[in-house]
Amino acid sequence: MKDIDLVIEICGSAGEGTISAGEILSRFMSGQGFEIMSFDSYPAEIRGFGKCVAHTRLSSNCIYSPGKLVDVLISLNDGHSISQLSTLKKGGILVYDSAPLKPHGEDKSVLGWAEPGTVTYGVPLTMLANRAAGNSRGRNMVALGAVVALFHMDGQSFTQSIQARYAKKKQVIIDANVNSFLEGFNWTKKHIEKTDSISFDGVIMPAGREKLIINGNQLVVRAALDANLKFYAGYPITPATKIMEILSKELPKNGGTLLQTEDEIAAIGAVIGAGFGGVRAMTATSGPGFALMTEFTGLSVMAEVPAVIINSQRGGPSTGIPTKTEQSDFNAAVLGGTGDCPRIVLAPIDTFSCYQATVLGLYLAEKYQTLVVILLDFFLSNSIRNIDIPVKPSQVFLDSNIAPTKAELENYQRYKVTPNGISPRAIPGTPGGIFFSTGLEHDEFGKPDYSDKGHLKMTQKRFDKHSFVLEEAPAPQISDFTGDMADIGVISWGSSAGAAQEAVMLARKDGIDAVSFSSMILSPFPEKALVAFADKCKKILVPELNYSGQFANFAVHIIKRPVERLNYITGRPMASEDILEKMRQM
Amino acid sequence: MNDTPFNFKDYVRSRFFPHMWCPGCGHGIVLGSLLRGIHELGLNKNEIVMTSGIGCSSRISGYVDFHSLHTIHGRALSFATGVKLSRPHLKAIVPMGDGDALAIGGNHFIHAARRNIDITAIVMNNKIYGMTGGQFSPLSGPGKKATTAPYSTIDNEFDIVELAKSAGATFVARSTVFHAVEAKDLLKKAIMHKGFSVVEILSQCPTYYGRKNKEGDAVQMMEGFKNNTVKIGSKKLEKNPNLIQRGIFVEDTDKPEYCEAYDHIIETAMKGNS
Repeated sequence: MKDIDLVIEICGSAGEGTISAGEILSRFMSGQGFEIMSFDSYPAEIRGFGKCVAHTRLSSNCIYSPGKLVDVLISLNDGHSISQLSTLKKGGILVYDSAPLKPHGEDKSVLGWAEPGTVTYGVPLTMLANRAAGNSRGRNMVALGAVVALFHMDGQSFTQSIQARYAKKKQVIIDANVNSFLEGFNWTKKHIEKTDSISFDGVIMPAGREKLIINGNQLVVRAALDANLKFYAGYPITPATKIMEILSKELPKNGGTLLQTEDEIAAIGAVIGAGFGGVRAMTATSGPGFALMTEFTGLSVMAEVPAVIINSQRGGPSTGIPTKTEQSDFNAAVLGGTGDCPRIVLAPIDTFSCYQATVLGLYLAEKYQTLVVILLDFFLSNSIRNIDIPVKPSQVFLDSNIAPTKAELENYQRYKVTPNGISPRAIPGTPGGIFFSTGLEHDEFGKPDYSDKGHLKMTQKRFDKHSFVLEEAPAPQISDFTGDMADIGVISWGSSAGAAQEAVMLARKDGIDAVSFSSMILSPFPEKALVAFADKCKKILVPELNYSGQFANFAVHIIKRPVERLNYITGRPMASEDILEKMRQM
Repeated sequence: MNDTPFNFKDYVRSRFFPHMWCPGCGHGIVLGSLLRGIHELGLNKNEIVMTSGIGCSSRISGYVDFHSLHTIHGRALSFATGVKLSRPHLKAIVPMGDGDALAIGGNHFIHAARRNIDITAIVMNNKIYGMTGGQFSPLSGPGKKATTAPYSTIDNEFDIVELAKSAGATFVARSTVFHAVEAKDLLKKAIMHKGFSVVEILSQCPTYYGRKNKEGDAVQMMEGFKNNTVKIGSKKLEKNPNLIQRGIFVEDTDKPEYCEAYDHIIETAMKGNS
């Protein structure tokens, strides 16, 4: 059976149905048994006629990255699509409106700007939509019809996908969309002579397990609810807002509470308050909000109160680029704040691991009575995958507080020094479990203690506790070595890890002896594993989405040798193609 | 109510003494009024949570033998909000200083009042930052001397009562450390009030405010509280409208309390779930 691996982009103006067309295509492909990864880009401002791009990669194999270059560009808007041509592959396919409402000169038509060699199919989108429904709203469906016809996809099933998408709408709307699709489909069958080689003929995917079509933010919510989250406080900020919006509906259904606070400062304060109260609590934010929460990260660590902060990174610093992706809060999350402050930092490496990281984060925060930061980014928050339905966490992960025994409650020492640094924690209301919890340095009873010996002892306790966390975190993902030494080792983190792992696989097919290393846990960091890995690599490459190489700098200090860097701040996710290109140059 | 005699030691962590307040500080009187009030109410220590920020007044949370969370400057109410929403059956009491409550914590103060969440905020107003050594606060008012106002202050002050009222607090009262029994009674009412309650208690800082502003020693400052304040609506106000009024300014039991209102949200959401 032949493999399918295609990147399709639909480009239009806000309000032209670009994103919904992409969504229908993705859902259809998932239903057909393909892996999908989709990512939309849109302007930060809600109103207006900004450019929208629905980007979908679909494959009969495992997908690691969204794909930098595009096989098929569907243009709903010439003006916006012209700039999208730069990522269309050589010999790629362009589907465009051959009879737009207002005809434009060659310099303003996407056809006029297409590179020689591009396979172009003109379809009268506006005219066919009008014919189907009496208005041009269905242009997006006409375009989908054309694509389904061109590539010999299953038109019957596709119609059902459209019906499913609009199932809650009035029949008139469902009919208008289906009819527009059929107009496009039939017109293309009749009038277009196919000159490309993409075909789904004979591609039959095995019926797989039921898939969940979901993005990182939605998965975080699902994981948090599955992991017994009972309190959420937050302040709206892109790209984390969706987490709060969904939880505002779902959390009270589970008997939990959601508080929209006056600012991010109050949000983390309330989260720590609820954590002190003994329930699982979290907040989600982005860079600017995370900066405001910094003082509280110290308190959570010092007073040993559980708290989970999700930071979905965007372009920074300051307000920066709110709707573009970046990995530039590594320093703030891992090293930021004041004082010697050991905190746990997790960074999911793909959509699926957003679930694992959230469950693990809530578990670790409660057990180790400390702060957990989970670093997402705009891409992980918003990109859509079809994944296997996650297995719910076992009981061990749902209640991890280590409570004091009756004997320990006699003359209760809240901050007792123990072999693993975890001091049994009483929940307010526990008889005999009254204690003083403070951000001041304190003795084992919580009494303020500024002595040199006391400060050293308690600092050591907090760091000892932190080091035990590594035993409970997933081991780093390390690809197999072919020999004793590899030529290139690629070290990656967060949403760049998928592209790095894919680049390594492609490089090996190309004859480059490369291996990859990525860790979901960033603090404490699996330093020994990284040193052992680096010792077996002649050269090291660190690709990441920030300008200064924040993670590379961190890695250098662990492995004590220079590394090659690959840094992008384009606002787009990391591309395996770029990493591969860099490896070829090394 | 409680008929057993009051024993201070039943309510404090003796391990944490001696306390850190200066001789003559008014805060110990507030602590005394609070503990006597709690004793008279017959509340179980195990049902009380105290969160506090940073400053001389905030240290109360260390001395009382309640579940206490001593946190960050200005943010005590945000922590208390989380505690209260996670453990609504516990009484939440938040002792704050004037700078803690109304400078750095001003935003949380007005929003907690707006929500009408069942927390008792005690603002111990000594018109100065004591712990950092005598800087003026948003309650100092113009024409005062402080280490950061060597030529005297030009900043206007807040009126805590008016601010709390307009922000939506449903119980607002004022007393002074001279009127310790009255303060105790107001605190009792505030603690039992369902909703956001604010009790401003004028307290003296002889070390900084008193010395800088030539208001004399602790005794003279307390006499000032006696002479310059009157009960709400007192006839003395006709002659001297500048007298500060003491008593209960707002007591509204009709407005829904936040945790209870959220319980209705949970009820509605759960209905939709089944």
